[in-house]
Amino acid sequence: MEFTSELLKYWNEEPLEGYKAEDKDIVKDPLNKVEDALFAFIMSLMY
Amino acid sequence: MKLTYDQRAEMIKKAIMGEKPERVPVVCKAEPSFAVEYAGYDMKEALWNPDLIVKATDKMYEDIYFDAGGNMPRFPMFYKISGSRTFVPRELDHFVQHPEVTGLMFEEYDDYIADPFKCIVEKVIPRLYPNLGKPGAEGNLNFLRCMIADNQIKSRYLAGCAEIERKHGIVNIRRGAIEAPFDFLADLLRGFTGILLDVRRDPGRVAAAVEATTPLMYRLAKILNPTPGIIPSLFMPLHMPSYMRTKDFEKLYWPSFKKLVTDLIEKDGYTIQIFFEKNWTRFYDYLQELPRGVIAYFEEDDLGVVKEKLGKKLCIMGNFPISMLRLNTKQECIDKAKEILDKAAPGGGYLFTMDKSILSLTDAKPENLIAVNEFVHEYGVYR
Repeated sequence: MEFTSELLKYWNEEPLEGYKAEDKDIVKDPLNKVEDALFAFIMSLMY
Repeated sequence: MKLTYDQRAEMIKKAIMGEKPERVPVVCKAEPSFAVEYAGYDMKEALWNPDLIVKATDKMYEDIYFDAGGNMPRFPMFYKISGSRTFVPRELDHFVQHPEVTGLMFEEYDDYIADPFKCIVEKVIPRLYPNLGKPGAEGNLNFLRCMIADNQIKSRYLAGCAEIERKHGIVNIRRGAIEAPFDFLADLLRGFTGILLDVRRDPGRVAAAVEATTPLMYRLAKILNPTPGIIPSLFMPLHMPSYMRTKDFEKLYWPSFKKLVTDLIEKDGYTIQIFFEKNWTRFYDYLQELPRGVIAYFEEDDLGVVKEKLGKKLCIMGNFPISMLRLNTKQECIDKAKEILDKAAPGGGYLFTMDKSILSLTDAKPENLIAVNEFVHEYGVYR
């Protein structure tokens, strides 16, 4: 049950713009955690 | 006799999983605002200073018996900064209230269905939180102010709560709140009146919007409560079903709700405290399909009937009327607690608590709450 949004920049299959594939192990999780926190904050405004 | 944190955690876990613990756990539904009044602090000052709420809760836990708690108040600073139109601190004491709002216009359904998160950010938030929608740097800085306020005040509050929970051995059984997808669409997006109109005039779009919402709730649950287990549970208050026709509930509410709950419990290992607001009698056949791992918190339903219909699978709690704590004598309150325990406690799978949250001293006389909780703790022993 996954969702995507044009506004959220999750590193999924492909590297994000500005990052190299070989950096995946180092940067993917920290970057995705930022998106998680951003998503949760915005959603907290909605209930 | 006060129990240790570990003893309490163990008996709560057993009850949630439908087993028979040593005693009936007593769950706190007295909100921080009640604790603030009970401790004699000024409400406005406390709502801007979480340390005072923590001190008030410390006193409440000192005086009133509880095994479990867990809450998150709405802090006015956040809503003042954002210019919120949906959660509004009242003038008197900055206690946050929720007027009816419409964040999403009917003609925006297709945008929402295509990308709900984008639609929320671009269309809904500027409407509900005008200060966040101001153009340019001002709006951006207001977003930052809100995030900083949220982070500062909640981290202080949670750290203080963790300290007093350790001190009193209180088990926090809640972490993270989500909504049923239909309720999410109803509450701040379309509003109570709007959603009920939409159900009749365009059920197809409502169904599509609910379906589009479901993955957001699923993702949110996993972020807010990253360590699934029996405790702490996710919390999910249900709002709309008692106002819906059963056939609309079956088509528009139930499928996404059931999938969300079932996936979170069976695939991910969560438990979920679900607040079944108002009366759910006509929905019991549906609720029988929910998995073990649901803590079914009822407001108006007779727990004797609930126990018979749902008690083999679901842990149940709730239904002690807080109106009695306000209006009745101590003995009448104790008699009611005994009546509920006699119906709901046998065999286990039961937690004692009120039918709704206690917000203020005008909701409940403290001496009645003290007497009831002491009684349940002493009487609710499994032999």
